[in-house]
Amino acid sequence: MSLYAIVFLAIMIAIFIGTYLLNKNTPKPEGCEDMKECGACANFACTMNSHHKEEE
Amino acid sequence: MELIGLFVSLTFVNNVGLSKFYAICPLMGLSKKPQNALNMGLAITFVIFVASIVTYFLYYYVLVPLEITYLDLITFILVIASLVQFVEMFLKKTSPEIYKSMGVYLPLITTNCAVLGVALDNISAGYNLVEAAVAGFAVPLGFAIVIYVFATIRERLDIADVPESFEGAPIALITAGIMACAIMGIAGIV
Repeated sequence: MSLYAIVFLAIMIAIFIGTYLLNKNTPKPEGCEDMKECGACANFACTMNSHHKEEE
Repeated sequence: MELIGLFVSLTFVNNVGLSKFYAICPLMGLSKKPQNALNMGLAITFVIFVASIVTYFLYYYVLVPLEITYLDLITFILVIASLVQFVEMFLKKTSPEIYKSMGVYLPLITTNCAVLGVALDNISAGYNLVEAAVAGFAVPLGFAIVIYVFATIRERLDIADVPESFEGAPIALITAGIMACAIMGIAGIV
């Protein structure tokens, strides 16, 4: 049973990595290249926070 | 009739934000502008609905037969994360307009505990596929309604004469509390 668990988990992780890489390599549509960052909350740990853009 | 009861119950009475206190971060953070709240509500509705169905099939047709149900949490997290990546990629390719309006909020859904909460609740409540689909639509719809109404109230609060010590988050939390009390009033219907 633990073998099934390991194989299943490996498949799920592979699917996630696959979708992540596919998404990363998909070009953004015209006009969305430099989208406004999210400034809704003050969570600086979030990579979407506009604070990171200001640092750049 | 039972499905209608389930729908009303999950949308209003057991509202995910005001009754179970899931997704409080986006409820507070993204309710400053009604348009942002609406975009988040739409994005979360789509993701929760699809995630509910996908996790149902994975749980009952893969995890249960293989007797590895203890992996449900990590499986659902990976499913939701993959789904969000897939949805983002799909929107980039097919509808730039929707991507432009929701693009910033889509990655934030991965960390929204309401998505995981609905998937886990569907399993623990023992819902069948139709009930899981109804729950997957009713719960985010309730969240979308609440976050939008909350945003419109907060917009009015910005111009209201609120005592200084209550400005900002304190008055927002009081408002959320009053909304939760109001929603409890619907409990007698179902």
